Amino acid sequence: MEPSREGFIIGTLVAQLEDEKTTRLAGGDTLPDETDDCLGGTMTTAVSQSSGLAPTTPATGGRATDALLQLDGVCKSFDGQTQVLNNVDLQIERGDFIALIGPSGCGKSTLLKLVAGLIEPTAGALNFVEEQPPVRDRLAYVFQDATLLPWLSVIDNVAMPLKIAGLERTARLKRAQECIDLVGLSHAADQYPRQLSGGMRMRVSIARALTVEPALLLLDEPFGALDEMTRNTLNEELLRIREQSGWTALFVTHSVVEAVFLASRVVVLAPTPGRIDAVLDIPLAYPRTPATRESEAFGGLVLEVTRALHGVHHG
Amino acid sequence: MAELTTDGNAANDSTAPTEKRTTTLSATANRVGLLSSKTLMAVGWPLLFGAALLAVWYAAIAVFDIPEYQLPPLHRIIEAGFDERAVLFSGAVQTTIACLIGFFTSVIGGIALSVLLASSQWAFRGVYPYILLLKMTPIIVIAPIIILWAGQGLTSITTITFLICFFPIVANTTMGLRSTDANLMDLFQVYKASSWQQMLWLRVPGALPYFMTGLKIAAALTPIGALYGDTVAGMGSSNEAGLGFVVMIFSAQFKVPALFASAFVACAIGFLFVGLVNLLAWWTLHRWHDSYLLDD
Repeated sequence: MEPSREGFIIGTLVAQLEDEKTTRLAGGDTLPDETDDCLGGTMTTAVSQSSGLAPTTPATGGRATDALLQLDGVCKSFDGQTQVLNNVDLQIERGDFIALIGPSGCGKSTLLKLVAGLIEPTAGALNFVEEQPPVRDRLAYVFQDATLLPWLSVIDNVAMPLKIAGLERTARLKRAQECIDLVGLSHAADQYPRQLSGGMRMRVSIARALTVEPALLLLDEPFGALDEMTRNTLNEELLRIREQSGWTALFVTHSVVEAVFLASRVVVLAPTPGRIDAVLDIPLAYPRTPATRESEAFGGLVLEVTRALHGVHHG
Repeated sequence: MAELTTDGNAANDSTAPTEKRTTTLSATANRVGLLSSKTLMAVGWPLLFGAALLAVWYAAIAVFDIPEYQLPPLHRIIEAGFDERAVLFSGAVQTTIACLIGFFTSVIGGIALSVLLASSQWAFRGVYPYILLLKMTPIIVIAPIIILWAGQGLTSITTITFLICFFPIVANTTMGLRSTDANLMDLFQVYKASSWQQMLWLRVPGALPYFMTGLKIAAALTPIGALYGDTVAGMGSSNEAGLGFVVMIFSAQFKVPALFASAFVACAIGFLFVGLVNLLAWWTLHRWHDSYLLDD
């Protein structure tokens, strides 16, 4: 489907072929009465250990189903009351760029927090592919606002995940500098967050996420507060960086154009309670450029996603 | 002021003003003018105000015929300060020592207690009400109890100073440690930071502005604690008498100019403490904290 991505997909694929079991990480021992919160009723709480993911089957185009993470009937309610997510099933392939889009209150951010392990599902399971080191240890999270430490310079901010991981100073600063160069902020490494514009802060935040060489990058509306021009530029840069590092992405957004431009698949969520309404493939070839936005195919896809979203909004 | 006048004269005196020359001169005058107005605001204005105050002071003494034992003139205060310099100096040293010990123990104790209160909800719920209770009890009531336990002398004086500085530091630092940004906490959790990493690299630096606020309040209160401690627990022997005790003696002996002189010395100690803490706050915060944004 996306021939340009074959390179790194195959690369990681080979390493993964022998090791295709998955583990359930959460939700297995949920209390039965809590599962009643799930409206669907058909979801299974007790997915057995052996029910792994679809095996790797090299498809004709060279594309393989190589799941990194599978969500099985994931439910989340807070205080046992407010149902935020109901029965979410989603398979995330290695190399996927998934955009989560939907109206406010459809649980997009909650879904991201579940994947990050910041919160536990009320029911259902998140099955990560079993590999060493575990995917959960190779996550990076880019928050809605840049979430920088104001008392640290750009480079020290970017190096913070490595400092937490216990990497010694010279090594972590070297790696941080590489990531700063990658996002085009080489000149600002010694500046403090308050000296930077919103777009620059977001670049710092992305650089920080890249330091840990993530297998899965979670982005919670990272460009939501930026103007459209800056957002477009950062969209392009994000894809350029991805060409080099090849992480899988789960990207929450409110913008249809952004979702279509970035994603290989757009997941449309419906609100109250949050659930998956539609999953749309975006069959535009990578690398995508500003010209991609002007193509007819792009316009058609934006329309398609907009319609799906419209359906969600108006029943 | 003088500079400006000189420069103004120079511009007026220049007999052959080619256009270029005039421009250069007026530019210079302008620059000096700017400098002067800034200096005037910062130094000149307070000095002018001080001079006016001094004039009112002396005029009041002359007009209302105020005796020296009610309001001595400034030169008499300076004289008295010079005459009593040995007593005032050793008093100032004693008080500064008490201030330093009280201040630093309260800083260390305050930080330790704040970290404890911030790291455990149980500790906070259990201990904090009693800290507030102790804070509400006036130091005047606590002081006799402290003297009862520790006796007259430096231990009691520093304990009183400690108690007076302790609460603003604990209250502010605890508040700071408990108001860490939730997203930043999530960030540290995503990268699997241990709780001490989170404390050391996120919560403590984040609480720094709050801590500095507490420290500034404590610094201003420190001499008050030490001087009050002196008046209730001070020792009379010449080398042990703190400034508070010296004040009591001067007051009893009706040495009014010397009393005023000791007020100036106490004021200087207060300035030293507050100044150093402000410097520390500036040094730790000016690069990143919004409170120093206007200084750039």
